[in-house]
Amino acid sequence: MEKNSLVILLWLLILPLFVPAQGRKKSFVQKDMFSFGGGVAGGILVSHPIQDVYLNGSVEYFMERRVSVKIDAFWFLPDYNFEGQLQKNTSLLMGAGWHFPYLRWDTYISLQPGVAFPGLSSGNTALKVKTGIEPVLAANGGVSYYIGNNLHAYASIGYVHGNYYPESPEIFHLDEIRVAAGIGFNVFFNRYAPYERRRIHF
Amino acid sequence: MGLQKNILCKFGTQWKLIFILLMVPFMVVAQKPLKIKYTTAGIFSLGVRIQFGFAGSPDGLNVSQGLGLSSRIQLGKHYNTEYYGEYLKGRYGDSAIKSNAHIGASFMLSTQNKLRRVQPFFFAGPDADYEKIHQTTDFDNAASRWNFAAHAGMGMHINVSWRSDITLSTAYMLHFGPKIETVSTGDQPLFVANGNGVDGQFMLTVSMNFKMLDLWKKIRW
Repeated sequence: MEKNSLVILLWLLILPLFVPAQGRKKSFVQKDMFSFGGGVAGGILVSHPIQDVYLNGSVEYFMERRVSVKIDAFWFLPDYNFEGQLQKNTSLLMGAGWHFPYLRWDTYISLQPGVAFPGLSSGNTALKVKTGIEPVLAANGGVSYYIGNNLHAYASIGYVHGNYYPESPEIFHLDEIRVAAGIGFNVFFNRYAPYERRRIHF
Repeated sequence: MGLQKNILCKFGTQWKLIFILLMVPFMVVAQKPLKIKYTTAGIFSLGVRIQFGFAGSPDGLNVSQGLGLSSRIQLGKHYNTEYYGEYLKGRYGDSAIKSNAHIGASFMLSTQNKLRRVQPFFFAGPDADYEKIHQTTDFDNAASRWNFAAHAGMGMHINVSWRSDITLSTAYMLHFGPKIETVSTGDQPLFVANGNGVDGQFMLTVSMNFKMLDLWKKIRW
Protein backbone atom coordinates (compact mmCIF):
# COMPACT_ATOMS: atom_id res chain seq x y z
CA MET A 1 0.00 0.00 0.00
CA GLU A 2 2.76 2.37 0.99
CA LYS A 3 4.69 1.38 -2.10
CA ASN A 4 1.72 2.21 -4.36
CA SER A 5 1.31 5.63 -2.73
CA LEU A 6 4.99 6.32 -3.23
CA VAL A 7 4.78 5.41 -6.93
CA ILE A 8 1.75 7.67 -7.41
CA LEU A 9 3.50 10.52 -5.63
CA LEU A 10 6.59 10.03 -7.75
CA TRP A 11 4.48 10.08 -10.94
CA LEU A 12 2.77 13.29 -9.86
CA LEU A 13 6.16 14.88 -9.27
CA ILE A 14 7.58 13.73 -12.60
CA LEU A 15 4.45 14.55 -14.64
CA PRO A 16 5.15 18.32 -14.96
CA LEU A 17 8.42 17.52 -16.71
CA PHE A 18 6.51 16.00 -19.62
CA VAL A 19 3.65 18.49 -19.85
CA PRO A 20 4.22 21.75 -21.77
CA ALA A 21 4.16 24.80 -19.54
CA GLN A 22 1.97 26.74 -21.97
CA GLY A 23 -0.97 25.22 -23.77
CA ARG A 24 -0.40 27.15 -27.01
CA LYS A 25 2.77 28.30 -28.70
CA LYS A 26 2.80 31.89 -29.88
CA SER A 27 2.43 32.51 -33.57
CA PHE A 28 4.61 34.91 -35.51
CA VAL A 29 1.62 36.78 -36.94
CA GLN A 30 0.39 39.42 -34.54
CA LYS A 31 -1.91 42.39 -34.62
CA ASP A 32 -0.68 45.50 -36.46
CA MET A 33 1.59 43.62 -38.83
CA PHE A 34 1.97 45.21 -42.25
CA SER A 35 3.19 43.16 -45.17
CA PHE A 36 3.65 43.58 -48.88
CA GLY A 37 4.88 41.18 -51.49
CA GLY A 38 5.22 40.38 -55.12
CA GLY A 39 5.10 37.29 -57.23
CA VAL A 40 3.77 35.55 -60.27
CA ALA A 41 0.27 34.22 -60.85
CA GLY A 42 -1.16 31.87 -63.42
CA GLY A 43 -4.81 31.55 -64.33
CA ILE A 44 -6.93 29.00 -66.11
CA LEU A 45 -10.20 30.37 -67.46
CA VAL A 46 -13.12 28.08 -66.69
CA SER A 47 -15.25 28.85 -69.77
CA HIS A 48 -12.48 29.29 -72.34
CA PRO A 49 -9.40 27.24 -73.24
CA ILE A 50 -7.11 30.08 -72.19
CA GLN A 51 -4.32 30.33 -69.64
CA ASP A 52 -3.24 33.70 -68.32
CA VAL A 53 -0.08 34.93 -66.65
CA TYR A 54 0.01 37.83 -64.20
CA LEU A 55 2.41 39.72 -62.03
CA ASN A 56 0.96 39.82 -58.54
CA GLY A 57 1.42 42.59 -55.96
CA SER A 58 -0.10 42.26 -52.53
CA VAL A 59 -0.48 44.58 -49.54
CA GLU A 60 -1.92 43.45 -46.24
CA TYR A 61 -2.50 44.95 -42.81
CA PHE A 62 -3.48 42.88 -39.80
CA MET A 63 -6.18 44.80 -37.95
CA GLU A 64 -6.33 41.90 -35.53
CA ARG A 65 -4.25 38.77 -35.17
CA ARG A 66 -6.75 36.83 -37.26
CA VAL A 67 -8.32 39.55 -39.39
CA SER A 68 -6.60 41.56 -42.09
CA VAL A 69 -7.34 43.99 -44.89
CA LYS A 70 -5.87 42.61 -48.11
CA ILE A 71 -5.32 44.40 -51.41
CA ASP A 72 -4.16 42.45 -54.45
CA ALA A 73 -3.21 43.71 -57.88
CA PHE A 74 -2.85 41.32 -60.80
CA TRP A 75 -1.05 42.87 -63.75
CA PHE A 76 -1.93 40.95 -66.90
CA LEU A 77 0.93 39.89 -69.19
CA PRO A 78 -0.59 39.77 -72.70
CA ASP A 79 -0.03 37.16 -75.35
CA TYR A 80 -0.39 38.97 -78.66
CA ASN A 81 -1.63 37.76 -82.05
CA PHE A 82 -4.23 35.34 -80.79
CA GLU A 83 -7.75 36.14 -81.91
CA GLY A 84 -10.34 35.92 -79.16
CA GLN A 85 -7.59 35.85 -76.56
CA LEU A 86 -7.73 38.19 -73.61
CA GLN A 87 -5.22 40.89 -74.25
CA LYS A 88 -6.05 42.78 -71.08
CA ASN A 89 -7.31 41.48 -67.78
CA THR A 90 -5.54 43.47 -65.11
CA SER A 91 -7.50 43.44 -61.87
CA LEU A 92 -7.47 45.17 -58.52
CA LEU A 93 -9.05 43.41 -55.55
CA MET A 94 -9.65 44.59 -51.99
CA GLY A 95 -11.20 42.65 -49.17
CA ALA A 96 -10.70 40.87 -45.90
CA GLY A 97 -8.57 37.92 -44.92
CA TRP A 98 -9.18 35.50 -42.05
CA HIS A 99 -6.04 33.92 -40.70
CA PHE A 100 -5.21 30.78 -38.80
CA PRO A 101 -1.62 31.42 -37.71
CA TYR A 102 0.50 28.69 -36.18
CA LEU A 103 4.13 29.37 -35.26
CA ARG A 104 5.77 30.70 -38.43
CA TRP A 105 2.96 29.45 -40.67
CA ASP A 106 -0.14 31.39 -41.53
CA THR A 107 -3.00 29.76 -43.40
CA TYR A 108 -5.69 32.11 -44.58
CA ILE A 109 -8.86 32.51 -46.56
CA SER A 110 -9.93 35.77 -48.14
CA LEU A 111 -12.90 37.28 -49.89
CA GLN A 112 -12.22 40.23 -52.18
CA PRO A 113 -14.49 42.24 -54.42
CA GLY A 114 -12.69 44.20 -57.08
CA VAL A 115 -12.50 45.59 -60.55
CA ALA A 116 -11.10 43.97 -63.69
CA PHE A 117 -10.04 45.84 -66.82
CA PRO A 118 -10.44 43.23 -69.58
CA GLY A 119 -9.97 43.65 -73.31
CA LEU A 120 -10.30 41.11 -76.11
CA SER A 121 -7.79 40.89 -78.91
CA SER A 122 -9.16 40.84 -82.43
CA GLY A 123 -5.94 39.34 -83.76
CA ASN A 124 -5.01 42.58 -85.46
CA THR A 125 -2.38 44.42 -83.43
CA ALA A 126 -3.00 47.62 -85.38
CA LEU A 127 -6.46 47.94 -83.83
CA LYS A 128 -6.66 49.39 -80.38
CA VAL A 129 -8.17 47.00 -77.85
CA LYS A 130 -11.14 48.45 -75.98
CA THR A 131 -10.88 48.12 -72.22
CA GLY A 132 -13.89 47.33 -70.08
CA ILE A 133 -14.40 48.05 -66.39
CA GLU A 134 -16.08 45.05 -64.80
CA PRO A 135 -16.87 44.16 -61.19
CA VAL A 136 -15.33 40.86 -60.12
CA LEU A 137 -15.25 38.78 -56.98
CA ALA A 138 -12.43 36.56 -55.73
CA ALA A 139 -12.36 33.88 -53.05
CA ASN A 140 -8.87 32.72 -52.11
CA GLY A 141 -7.06 30.39 -49.79
CA GLY A 142 -3.36 30.37 -49.13
CA VAL A 143 -0.45 29.90 -46.86
CA SER A 144 2.47 32.13 -45.81
CA TYR A 145 5.70 31.14 -44.13
CA TYR A 146 7.63 33.78 -42.22
CA ILE A 147 11.40 33.74 -42.49
CA GLY A 148 13.45 35.68 -39.97
CA ASN A 149 11.81 38.83 -38.66
CA ASN A 150 10.88 40.59 -41.88
CA LEU A 151 10.53 38.17 -44.79
CA HIS A 152 7.87 35.78 -45.91
CA ALA A 153 6.96 33.54 -48.82
CA TYR A 154 3.39 32.90 -49.88
CA ALA A 155 1.33 30.69 -52.15
CA SER A 156 -2.37 30.94 -52.81
CA ILE A 157 -5.13 29.53 -54.95
CA GLY A 158 -8.41 31.23 -55.68
CA TYR A 159 -11.47 31.51 -57.85
CA VAL A 160 -12.32 34.74 -59.63
CA HIS A 161 -15.87 35.32 -60.81
CA GLY A 162 -16.88 38.03 -63.25
CA ASN A 163 -18.29 38.81 -66.67
CA TYR A 164 -16.91 40.96 -69.44
CA TYR A 165 -19.42 42.68 -71.70
CA PRO A 166 -17.58 43.54 -74.93
CA GLU A 167 -19.28 45.31 -77.82
CA SER A 168 -20.56 42.01 -79.19
CA PRO A 169 -23.63 39.82 -78.65
CA GLU A 170 -21.78 37.34 -76.44
CA ILE A 171 -20.64 37.71 -72.84
CA PHE A 172 -17.05 36.74 -72.10
CA HIS A 173 -16.94 34.91 -68.76
CA LEU A 174 -13.92 35.91 -66.70
CA ASP A 175 -14.30 33.00 -64.27
CA GLU A 176 -10.83 31.77 -63.55
CA ILE A 177 -8.83 29.59 -61.19
CA ARG A 178 -5.80 31.63 -60.18
CA VAL A 179 -2.67 30.31 -58.53
CA ALA A 180 -0.12 32.78 -57.15
CA ALA A 181 3.21 32.53 -55.37
CA GLY A 182 5.81 35.03 -54.29
CA ILE A 183 7.87 36.56 -51.56
CA GLY A 184 7.31 39.58 -49.39
CA PHE A 185 8.44 41.89 -46.64
CA ASN A 186 6.67 42.38 -43.32
CA VAL A 187 7.03 44.78 -40.44
CA PHE A 188 5.16 45.34 -37.15
CA PHE A 189 3.44 48.69 -36.77
CA ASN A 190 2.22 48.05 -33.31
CA ARG A 191 0.94 50.80 -31.13
CA TYR A 192 2.69 49.74 -27.96
CA ALA A 193 5.67 51.55 -26.55
CA PRO A 194 9.00 49.85 -27.38
CA TYR A 195 9.48 48.58 -23.82
CA GLU A 196 6.08 46.88 -24.02
CA ARG A 197 6.81 45.09 -27.27
CA ARG A 198 7.44 41.44 -27.05
CA ARG A 199 9.89 39.95 -29.45
CA ILE A 200 8.90 36.62 -30.80
CA HIS A 201 11.54 33.96 -30.18
CA PHE A 202 11.45 30.45 -31.48
CA MET B 1 -13.22 79.19 38.73
CA GLY B 2 -15.76 81.93 38.56
CA LEU B 3 -14.27 83.17 35.29
CA GLN B 4 -14.49 79.69 33.73
CA LYS B 5 -18.15 79.33 34.69
CA ASN B 6 -18.80 82.74 33.24
CA ILE B 7 -17.19 81.84 29.86
CA LEU B 8 -19.12 78.54 29.61
CA CYS B 9 -22.39 80.32 30.28
CA LYS B 10 -21.57 82.98 27.70
CA PHE B 11 -20.49 80.63 24.84
CA GLY B 12 -22.51 77.53 25.78
CA THR B 13 -25.20 78.04 23.16
CA GLN B 14 -22.65 79.08 20.44
CA TRP B 15 -20.59 75.86 20.92
CA LYS B 16 -23.71 73.83 20.29
CA LEU B 17 -24.36 75.77 17.12
CA ILE B 18 -20.79 75.34 15.85
CA PHE B 19 -20.92 71.61 16.62
CA ILE B 20 -24.14 71.22 14.61
CA LEU B 21 -22.67 73.14 11.66
CA LEU B 22 -19.58 70.88 11.69
CA MET B 23 -21.75 67.78 11.66
CA VAL B 24 -24.00 68.91 8.79
CA PRO B 25 -21.63 67.82 5.91
CA PHE B 26 -21.74 64.26 7.20
CA MET B 27 -25.47 64.16 6.82
CA VAL B 28 -25.96 65.80 3.41
CA VAL B 29 -24.94 64.44 -0.02
CA ALA B 30 -22.27 66.56 -1.64
CA GLN B 31 -22.65 65.17 -5.18
CA LYS B 32 -24.76 62.64 -6.98
CA PRO B 33 -22.74 59.45 -7.52
CA LEU B 34 -21.25 59.25 -11.07
CA LYS B 35 -22.90 56.63 -13.19
CA ILE B 36 -20.33 55.54 -15.75
CA LYS B 37 -21.42 53.04 -18.35
CA TYR B 38 -20.07 51.78 -21.65
CA THR B 39 -22.14 52.38 -24.75
CA THR B 40 -21.67 51.28 -28.33
CA ALA B 41 -22.98 54.59 -29.69
CA GLY B 42 -20.48 56.38 -31.89
CA ILE B 43 -18.62 53.35 -33.23
CA PHE B 44 -17.48 54.07 -36.78
CA SER B 45 -16.93 51.14 -39.17
CA LEU B 46 -15.61 50.83 -42.70
CA GLY B 47 -16.22 47.98 -45.09
CA VAL B 48 -16.35 46.60 -48.57
CA ARG B 49 -19.40 44.94 -50.07
CA ILE B 50 -20.21 42.42 -52.76
CA GLN B 51 -23.62 42.69 -54.28
CA PHE B 52 -25.91 40.69 -56.51
CA GLY B 53 -29.01 42.27 -58.03
CA PHE B 54 -31.96 40.33 -59.40
CA ALA B 55 -34.27 42.25 -61.70
CA GLY B 56 -36.85 41.52 -64.33
CA SER B 57 -36.18 42.34 -67.97
CA PRO B 58 -38.09 41.83 -71.24
CA ASP B 59 -36.51 38.37 -71.53
CA GLY B 60 -36.86 37.17 -67.94
CA LEU B 61 -34.83 37.43 -64.77
CA ASN B 62 -31.37 38.95 -64.98
CA VAL B 63 -28.60 38.82 -62.43
CA SER B 64 -26.12 41.65 -62.01
CA GLN B 65 -22.94 41.65 -59.96
CA GLY B 66 -21.35 44.56 -58.17
CA LEU B 67 -19.09 45.96 -55.54
CA GLY B 68 -19.07 48.89 -53.18
CA LEU B 69 -17.81 50.63 -50.09
CA SER B 70 -19.74 51.23 -46.91
CA SER B 71 -19.38 52.98 -43.58
CA ARG B 72 -21.43 52.72 -40.42
CA ILE B 73 -22.05 54.97 -37.45
CA GLN B 74 -23.74 53.25 -34.57
CA LEU B 75 -26.32 55.38 -32.79
CA GLY B 76 -27.15 53.12 -29.88
CA LYS B 77 -27.38 49.62 -28.58
CA HIS B 78 -30.15 48.74 -31.03
CA TYR B 79 -29.67 51.34 -33.73
CA ASN B 80 -27.07 51.59 -36.44
CA THR B 81 -26.77 53.65 -39.62
CA GLU B 82 -25.01 52.67 -42.82
CA TYR B 83 -23.87 54.85 -45.72
CA TYR B 84 -22.72 53.26 -48.94
CA GLY B 85 -21.92 53.58 -52.60
CA GLU B 86 -22.09 50.64 -54.98
CA TYR B 87 -21.90 49.76 -58.64
CA LEU B 88 -23.63 46.83 -60.38
CA LYS B 89 -23.47 45.55 -63.92
CA GLY B 90 -25.37 42.79 -65.69
CA ARG B 91 -27.37 41.73 -68.70
CA TYR B 92 -30.73 43.33 -69.44
CA GLY B 93 -32.51 40.91 -71.70
CA ASP B 94 -30.69 39.31 -74.62
CA SER B 95 -29.52 42.45 -76.32
CA ALA B 96 -28.66 45.00 -73.63
CA ILE B 97 -26.42 45.64 -70.64
CA LYS B 98 -27.63 47.44 -67.53
CA SER B 99 -25.40 49.33 -65.10
CA ASN B 100 -26.62 50.64 -61.78
CA ALA B 101 -24.96 52.88 -59.24
CA HIS B 102 -26.47 53.51 -55.82
CA ILE B 103 -25.58 56.05 -53.18
CA GLY B 104 -27.66 55.34 -50.14
CA ALA B 105 -28.19 55.18 -46.43
CA SER B 106 -29.81 52.60 -44.18
CA PHE B 107 -31.25 52.78 -40.73
CA MET B 108 -30.63 49.43 -39.07
CA LEU B 109 -32.59 48.11 -36.14
CA SER B 110 -31.40 45.09 -34.21
CA THR B 111 -33.24 43.48 -31.35
CA GLN B 112 -30.37 41.98 -29.37
CA ASN B 113 -29.07 43.55 -26.20
CA LYS B 114 -25.59 42.04 -26.21
CA LEU B 115 -23.04 41.56 -28.96
CA ARG B 116 -23.42 37.96 -30.05
CA ARG B 117 -21.87 35.89 -32.79
CA VAL B 118 -24.99 36.23 -34.96
CA GLN B 119 -26.98 39.43 -34.80
CA PRO B 120 -30.10 39.75 -36.97
CA PHE B 121 -31.41 43.16 -37.98
CA PHE B 122 -33.98 44.96 -40.10
CA PHE B 123 -33.10 47.94 -42.23
CA ALA B 124 -34.59 50.53 -44.56
CA GLY B 125 -33.47 53.73 -46.20
CA PRO B 126 -33.37 56.08 -49.17
CA ASP B 127 -31.08 55.94 -52.21
CA ALA B 128 -30.05 57.92 -55.23
CA ASP B 129 -30.06 55.53 -58.19
CA TYR B 130 -28.28 55.93 -61.50
CA GLU B 131 -29.18 53.52 -64.28
CA LYS B 132 -27.74 53.13 -67.75
CA ILE B 133 -28.84 50.66 -70.39
CA HIS B 134 -26.92 50.17 -73.61
CA GLN B 135 -27.11 47.77 -76.51
CA THR B 136 -24.61 44.90 -76.47
CA THR B 137 -23.52 45.46 -80.06
CA ASP B 138 -23.67 49.25 -80.09
CA PHE B 139 -22.54 51.15 -77.00
CA ASP B 140 -23.77 54.44 -78.50
CA ASN B 141 -27.35 53.19 -78.39
CA ALA B 142 -27.79 53.95 -74.71
CA ALA B 143 -30.05 55.76 -72.28
CA SER B 144 -29.49 56.76 -68.70
CA ARG B 145 -31.32 58.42 -65.85
CA TRP B 146 -31.04 59.41 -62.20
CA ASN B 147 -33.92 58.81 -59.85
CA PHE B 148 -34.95 58.41 -56.26
CA ALA B 149 -35.08 54.96 -54.72
CA ALA B 150 -35.90 53.36 -51.40
CA HIS B 151 -35.04 49.98 -49.99
CA ALA B 152 -36.00 47.76 -47.07
CA GLY B 153 -34.91 44.35 -45.97
CA MET B 154 -33.37 42.17 -43.33
CA GLY B 155 -30.01 40.65 -42.65
CA MET B 156 -27.56 39.43 -40.06
CA HIS B 157 -24.13 40.36 -38.80
CA ILE B 158 -21.79 37.45 -38.23
CA ASN B 159 -19.35 38.86 -35.70
CA VAL B 160 -16.04 37.23 -36.52
CA SER B 161 -14.41 39.10 -33.65
CA TRP B 162 -15.33 42.00 -31.40
CA ARG B 163 -14.25 44.45 -34.10
CA SER B 164 -14.94 42.72 -37.40
CA ASP B 165 -18.04 41.27 -38.95
CA ILE B 166 -19.42 39.75 -42.11
CA THR B 167 -22.90 40.97 -42.90
CA LEU B 168 -25.36 39.14 -45.09
CA SER B 169 -28.48 41.02 -46.10
CA THR B 170 -31.34 40.89 -48.53
CA ALA B 171 -33.42 43.86 -49.57
CA TYR B 172 -35.91 44.98 -52.14
CA MET B 173 -35.23 48.31 -53.78
CA LEU B 174 -37.89 50.39 -55.49
CA HIS B 175 -36.91 53.01 -58.09
CA PHE B 176 -39.27 55.96 -58.47
CA GLY B 177 -39.20 58.39 -61.36
CA PRO B 178 -38.17 58.31 -65.01
CA LYS B 179 -38.06 54.92 -66.70
CA ILE B 180 -35.91 53.66 -69.52
CA GLU B 181 -38.06 52.24 -72.28
CA THR B 182 -37.21 50.17 -75.31
CA VAL B 183 -38.57 51.46 -78.61
CA SER B 184 -38.36 49.13 -81.61
CA THR B 185 -37.19 50.81 -84.77
CA GLY B 186 -37.02 48.09 -87.39
CA ASP B 187 -34.65 45.40 -86.18
CA GLN B 188 -32.84 47.61 -83.70
CA PRO B 189 -34.16 48.39 -80.22
CA LEU B 190 -33.70 52.02 -79.19
CA PHE B 191 -33.35 52.88 -75.51
CA VAL B 192 -34.90 56.12 -74.33
CA ALA B 193 -35.47 57.64 -70.89
CA ASN B 194 -39.16 58.32 -71.06
CA GLY B 195 -42.18 58.47 -68.76
CA ASN B 196 -42.49 57.85 -65.04
CA GLY B 197 -43.08 54.71 -63.07
CA VAL B 198 -41.89 52.37 -60.40
CA ASP B 199 -39.63 49.39 -60.92
CA GLY B 200 -37.58 47.38 -58.53
CA GLN B 201 -34.85 44.89 -57.92
CA PHE B 202 -34.03 42.33 -55.29
CA MET B 203 -30.58 42.75 -53.73
CA LEU B 204 -28.35 40.26 -51.99
CA THR B 205 -25.35 41.80 -50.23
CA VAL B 206 -22.32 40.37 -48.48
CA SER B 207 -20.19 42.95 -46.71
CA MET B 208 -17.06 42.79 -44.57
CA ASN B 209 -16.72 45.52 -41.98
CA PHE B 210 -14.22 46.62 -39.39
CA LYS B 211 -14.90 48.88 -36.41
CA MET B 212 -12.29 51.60 -36.85
CA LEU B 213 -12.83 54.02 -33.96
CA ASP B 214 -15.23 55.34 -31.38
CA LEU B 215 -16.21 58.81 -32.52
CA TRP B 216 -17.94 59.86 -29.34
CA LYS B 217 -15.52 58.32 -26.84
CA LYS B 218 -16.17 55.14 -24.96
CA ILE B 219 -17.61 56.45 -21.75
CA ARG B 220 -20.88 58.23 -21.20
CA TRP B 221 -22.00 59.89 -17.98
